[in-house]
Order: sequence, then C-alpha cells, then structure tokens
Amino acid sequence: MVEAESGAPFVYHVGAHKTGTSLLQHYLSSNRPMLRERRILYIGRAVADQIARAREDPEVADEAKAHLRKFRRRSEAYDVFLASYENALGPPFSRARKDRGLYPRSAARMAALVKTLRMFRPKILLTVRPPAEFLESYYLQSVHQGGYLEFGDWLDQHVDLELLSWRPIIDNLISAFGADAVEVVDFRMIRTSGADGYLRELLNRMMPGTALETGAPAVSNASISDKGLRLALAGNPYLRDKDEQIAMRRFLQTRFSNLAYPRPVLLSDDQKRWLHDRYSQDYDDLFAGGADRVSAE
Amino acid sequence: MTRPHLVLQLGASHDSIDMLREALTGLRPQLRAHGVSFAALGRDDPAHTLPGLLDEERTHAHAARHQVCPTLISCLLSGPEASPAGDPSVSGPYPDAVTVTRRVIEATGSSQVLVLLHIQRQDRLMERAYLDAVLAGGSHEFADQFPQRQDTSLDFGPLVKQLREVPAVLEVRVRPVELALADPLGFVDDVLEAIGLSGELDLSAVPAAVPATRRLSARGARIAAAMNAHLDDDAERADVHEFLLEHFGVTAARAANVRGILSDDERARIVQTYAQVNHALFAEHLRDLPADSYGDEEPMVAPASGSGYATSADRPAVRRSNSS
Repeated sequence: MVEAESGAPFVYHVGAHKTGTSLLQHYLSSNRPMLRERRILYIGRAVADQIARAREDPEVADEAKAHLRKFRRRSEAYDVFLASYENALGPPFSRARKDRGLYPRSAARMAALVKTLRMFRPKILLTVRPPAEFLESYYLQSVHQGGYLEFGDWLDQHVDLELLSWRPIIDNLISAFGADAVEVVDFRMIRTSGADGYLRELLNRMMPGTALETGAPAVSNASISDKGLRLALAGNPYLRDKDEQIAMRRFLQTRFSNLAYPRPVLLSDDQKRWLHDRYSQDYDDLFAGGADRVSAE
Repeated sequence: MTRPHLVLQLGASHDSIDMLREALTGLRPQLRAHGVSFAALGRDDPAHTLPGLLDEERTHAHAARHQVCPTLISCLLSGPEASPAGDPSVSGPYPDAVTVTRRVIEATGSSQVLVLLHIQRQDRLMERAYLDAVLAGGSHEFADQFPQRQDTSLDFGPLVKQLREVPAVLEVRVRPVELALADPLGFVDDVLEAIGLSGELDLSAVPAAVPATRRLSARGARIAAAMNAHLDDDAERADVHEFLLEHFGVTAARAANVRGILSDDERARIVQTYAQVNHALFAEHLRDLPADSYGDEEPMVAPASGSGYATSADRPAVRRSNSS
C-alpha cells in the first residue's frame, strides 16, 4: 500500500458498471452549486477519466496532473473532492484477458490510481451486484454500445464463469488504498430502499455525516425487451459511430422497452442455479462485516 | 387516332409519379371545369371503386355543362417482383400493369382507351422496388429480389405489346419518368396533352423541381431488412421505418454523398445489359428522344419543339399562373 499524503479527501466512485452509476453521476452533476456551498467539489466524468488513466496514457497524463494540482490549490475552499467514473477499473470482461476475471485491468489501474492521488487522502467507493445479474446487465449494455454478439457467444468469448467473484478486486483495492479507505455497497439495496434511499446510502458512504438532500431521482435507464434485443443484434452490425449507436439505443429503449414487451431471457435456469451455488456465499461474505461494510481483512 | 374516352396513366413508385399524381389531384377543379373526370388509384385500391368515384366526378363535369366527359385515371403499379412470388403470370417491370388495365377498362366500360405508360430505367426501377419491398416489411437482400438483374426480364418492350393487345386500347404512349426531373411542368403538361388540355390549365401549383421523398440509404435499407425479420405488425414496422428514415434516410441535400443500393459497377452492368432493348424501345416508342437516353447518367431533357417536352421557361403555351 502506498502511503498517501495528508491532504483533502478525494473520494472516487470506481463503478462497477450497471450499479446505479448514472443515478449518482446525474445527482452530483445536477447539484454542483449546492455541493459547492457545502464545500464539496464534484469532478466530472471527463476529468475523472483522465485521472484514472493518467499513468497509462501519456496523452492525458499532463492534463490530469494539472487538474490535480489545481484541486490541491483549492483545498482551502473544499473539504472533499468527489469523482465517479464507471470505467475507472477499466472495461469488464476482456476477450483477450478472459482469465483475469470481472475487471481484468483493475489491479493495474488501482495501483496507478493510488499513486496519482498521493497528494490527497483517497477513498474508494465500489458498488457491486451479484455476478449473474452483472453478467446479464453488462451484456445488454454492450449491445447498447453497438455490440451484436448473441449472449451465448459473448459469454463464451469474454467470460470465465469460474472467475466472477468480486473478492479479488476488493482485495486489490484494500491492498492499494487500505481497508479503511474502501467502501463497498450492494446495488441490490435499491430494491428495498428505492433509488433515493440507495443514492443517500452512496453519499453517506462517500461522505459520512454529510446529510445531503436528494429528492426523487430523475434518472432511470430503461431496459430493452427481448424483441428490442433481437432488433439491436440485427441492426447493430451496420452502425458506424457512437451517434448512431446512441440513436438506436434510445429508440429501442423507448419503443421496445421491457415495460411493453417481455424481458430478454439470457442465462438459462441451470446457469443461474450454478452461478447462485457458486457465488452467493462469496457475494454475501463481502458484506459480512456488518452494516453492509466490507470486511477489512 | 379516335379521341379517347379514357386516358389511363400507368406508373410505378417514383418521385416524379408522386409529383404528377399530386399535381393532377390539385388540378381537379380545373379538369372538372373542362369536363374531365379524374380519379387516382393506389396500388391496393380495387378497380370496382372506380364507377362510384367517376359518377361523382361526372356530376361535377355535367354541372359545368360538358356533354362529353373524357376520363383521366392514374394508376400506381407494383414494381418488379413485388407481386406474389412464384406466380409466372406476373412478371416484367410492372407485373400488374395488364391486369390493372383490363380491370379499369372493365369497371369504366370504356371502349376507346389511351394508355400513357411511364417507364423508369431498370437499375432505378429495381432500387425503388427493393426499397418499397423493405419498407413493406421485407427482410431479403437486393440480390434475392433481383437474381435475374443481368438478363432483360425488365424490358418494357413486351409490356407495351401486351398493353396494345388489351381490348379497347387504341394507343400506348411511352414516357420516361426521368423527364420530370428536368421539367416537371412539361411532364404534367404531357399528360394533359393526352386529354387535349395541353396549355389550357393554370399550372402555377406544379413545383419547379420534383420534390424528393425521404428514402432509405443503402445502409438504412440493410438495417431495415435485418430488423424487419423481428417485427410482427404494421405498427412496429411503421415506427422502426420512421426511425430509420430519420437517421439513415437520404434527403435531396444528402443524396450526392450517400450511396444508392447499387454500386457504380453493378449499375453500369445493368445499364449495359439493357442497352440494346432500351435502344429499341426508344427508337420505336420515344422517337422525340435520343435512342441512347438510358445509356448514361446525364439528365434527360426532351426537345423543346415538336411533340416532345420543353423546359418550363421555353414553354409559353403552358400557363404557370392566371396572368400568363
């Protein structure tokens, strides 16, 4: 573990994907003035991305360092710096690094991030969901982003079902930042507490004791139906750029959402049962330290 | 020729045909004032509705105190291969042209008919027919609709002969839709000439250029064909196609930068394939135009004199406004 300098707290929500990241980011970006009044500076996704990649991409390194120096100079004005970027751990499920689990580049990314943030007191928030849910949800996101592999093919090519535990990632985070600087939250909480309750929990974990007004969150990523998925897989091979992908995604999410049509069936019952047997205890153990806090061991 | 009682305009889907039908509909009051009954039939409109439509028109025409009521009927035909697959009785460039002609003649009881057949160059006809098929829900490739694109099965010559053999047809006039692109006014006036009204009507409402309807780009058509396979009803198809026309459509402004369905090479091959039969068609039925008019990509312009078309500016006989 790299010893961080004593500085202003820098709280970085590093994902994972499909765990309410849009909800949190939308809240933070929509409430910048209020946050500033509370001496909290929210750092947008673009700068958060540069900070996450500062040590692997020379093209963004200088800019990231300049931002961090600026933040440090402004630490008199702010009590805490906040960032949230779901790609901070790198992309999940690499075809080339299928043998490295959920986020193949996370260890390297976090080892680099702790060095990048050494002039602050970093704190990491990781939001997770059970592997089976994460698989299905991220696959649909990959289709929204232009992918057109059938789920079975995607699974075969990108995923090692034996390596879907969050534990190695959390261990790496703890190793890099220290147990006291790592918070892990279960996305399933959104089902019992609602989006507002989940958001409040995230904010409280990032900044304990800072009671922020949240209100009814406006962000909800609609999901596509089985028919929407079929249409996306048919049309995506012909899309050329991000704008076209976004247009297709929005259309299908609106016109062929799972509110109007049946949900897609991705994992079979057997696969779900196997994943449950394989990972449910492992997943529950992540929060066994009590009060949903990650074990510091 | 004996003055026809019925002028039957036939053409398949094309921007020029859309413009013509819209213009004629707009001219209906003037046509009535000259004692001409006008009706337009879509591809799915049954001919047996014609008597009702024409009775109403004739009432207006008689109200204008015309004793003889010539009739102008515009029929939108199916493009090639859009008819039920595998039916050998329907083939050629406009598979339903003869059937439609017979039915209209039967429904109207006409005994003296002039058929005005609007043709399209075969590569464009195929492209348009394919796009229409995709927008109707087809999920096939262009090559599947036109496996015979390197033979001359879309030659218009045999169709002209078949139409001439339909009882009551006195004459078949052939005109290319491409002429409308250079001279929309002349294109409309040419139809009016067939009913003896050339230069008689106020054509100020006819657009100076043929409005380009939205159509799918080549890529849009591929996406539509791929997605169509998963759509179950007309409402879904309509919404998907509207989305695709918005994001993968071709407008007049973009047309120059967007590829058609056919590659340049394939288009050239088709044009070459049909060169001989088109040359013969023009030589026999379109003598006012160069026989190789379908041999290149140059805009087609009719001669300014004789029985052919003229540009709007050169055509003082055609009235563009009440004051002219």
